Amino acid sequence: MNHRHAAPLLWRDGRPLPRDEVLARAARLGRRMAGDQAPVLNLCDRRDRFITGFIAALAAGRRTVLPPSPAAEVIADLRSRLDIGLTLDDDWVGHHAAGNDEPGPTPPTGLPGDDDRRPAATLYTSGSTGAPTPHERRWDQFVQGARLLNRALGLADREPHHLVATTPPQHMYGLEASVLLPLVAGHSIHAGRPLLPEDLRSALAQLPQPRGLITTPLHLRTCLEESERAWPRVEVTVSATAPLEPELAARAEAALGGAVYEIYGSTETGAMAWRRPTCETLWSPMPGVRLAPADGRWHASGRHFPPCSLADQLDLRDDGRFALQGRDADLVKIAGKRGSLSAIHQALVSVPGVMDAVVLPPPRDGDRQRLRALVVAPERSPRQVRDGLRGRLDPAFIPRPIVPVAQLPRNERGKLPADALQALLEQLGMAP
Amino acid sequence: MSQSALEREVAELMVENLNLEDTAPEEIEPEAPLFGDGLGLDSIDALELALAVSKRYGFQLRADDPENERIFSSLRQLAAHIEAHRTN
Repeated sequence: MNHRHAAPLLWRDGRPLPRDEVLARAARLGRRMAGDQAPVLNLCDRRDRFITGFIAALAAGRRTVLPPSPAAEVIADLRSRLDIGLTLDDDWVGHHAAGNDEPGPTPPTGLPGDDDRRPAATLYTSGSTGAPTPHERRWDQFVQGARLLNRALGLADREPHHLVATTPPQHMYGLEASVLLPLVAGHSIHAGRPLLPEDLRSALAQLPQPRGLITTPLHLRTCLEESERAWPRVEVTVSATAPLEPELAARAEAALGGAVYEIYGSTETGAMAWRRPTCETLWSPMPGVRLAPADGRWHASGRHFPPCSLADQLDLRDDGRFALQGRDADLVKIAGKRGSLSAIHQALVSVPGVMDAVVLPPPRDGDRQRLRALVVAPERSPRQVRDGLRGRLDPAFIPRPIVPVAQLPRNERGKLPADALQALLEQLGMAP
Repeated sequence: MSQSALEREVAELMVENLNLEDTAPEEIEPEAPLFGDGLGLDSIDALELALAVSKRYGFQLRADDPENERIFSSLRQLAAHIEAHRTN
């Protein structure tokens, strides 16, 4: 017996929405989008509307474009450079998907075939290194990636799980785990995007077992710190975007009762390796992923992404698993976004009134950390400097705090010696 | 616009917990938006703030209820919400 099509795809207000019904509604919405080939910008915040809009665009043969950040200036910049035909948000999809039950031939309600090579989405790596870089994905690549993820999480031979995600669907991890995984592998997902611990607790409680949680170390830590109250049982938890300390993974397994997996990936590759931090330190590449060193960098290829080089250094073991060995010293990851310290420095010194500046990586590794900066700007307050950075930098990369100093201890060659900088930080009470 | 005693206390909590040491608590406008263009906070800050509020005032903030959407709209709204729900 195949229950797959009667099984829910979405959960809204505690009620299941059957997969067939969601797909049919999306197909009807897609019919309204057909005829124009221009890409569709999907800014939906609610996951049910994002998914409806995404499938509708797919059915209409139109590529979905996802912005690297929800900041207004980032969206405006994308729209000015791309020929965006249509912008979807919660209101638009809610309005048009509700009112399209008009009579007429019922359109085919399935997703494209698994091998369908139509362009499905363009994602961007965020722009602290200059203009955002586009990364294209075909539908067949998404299907492959979702199947591999499903298998890595041990879900391939198990009944459909009911998922909740705290991550936005607009970046690669959120798209793969909270949109493609349920679409391709038969799971269902909560329609909202719970942010605070209490929101997440009630979203989980609305779903039947077995449950799954797609989240980040930041959310896990906040939820587990906030209270000793019991959590609904979660069979499988997935974490990505920042390193998950084994100690936090162990606390999460104790509180949620199921396994906690960590995914390694990037916008370029999508999910490409996994581990269970309570059991192992090494990452297992997903089937079909090949890793090879060349010219001082690691290159990856696989069935679900175009070949590319990685930002991390790897220590590849004989059994095919690997350890991460840190990244290029210029790269930082803040709030799940990758940025270049030198590009952020450049943005800072371009703010009018800033004579000199140094951007400091977060004091210690962690998911809540912000960049800090010392600035020489005698005529400007830190707040004015921060205002000057808006629109030049993704908000995640705007340093906090921005600390005014009379001058930086540069040497005769204009360099900032590490010991002199350290002494200044100690004087300012900013040394770790 | 001047801050009430509780608004000042919540402003201090924010500065302390959100790496805003370059902003004086009294500089936070009670009615200016906290997120986006105002103070420029983001969803990570919302999580930090929720944690700090639950520790200090003994209740859990929620953001998914439309009723509660406004609690993060300004310092004034947040302080009023805390006043109505605090248990310590």
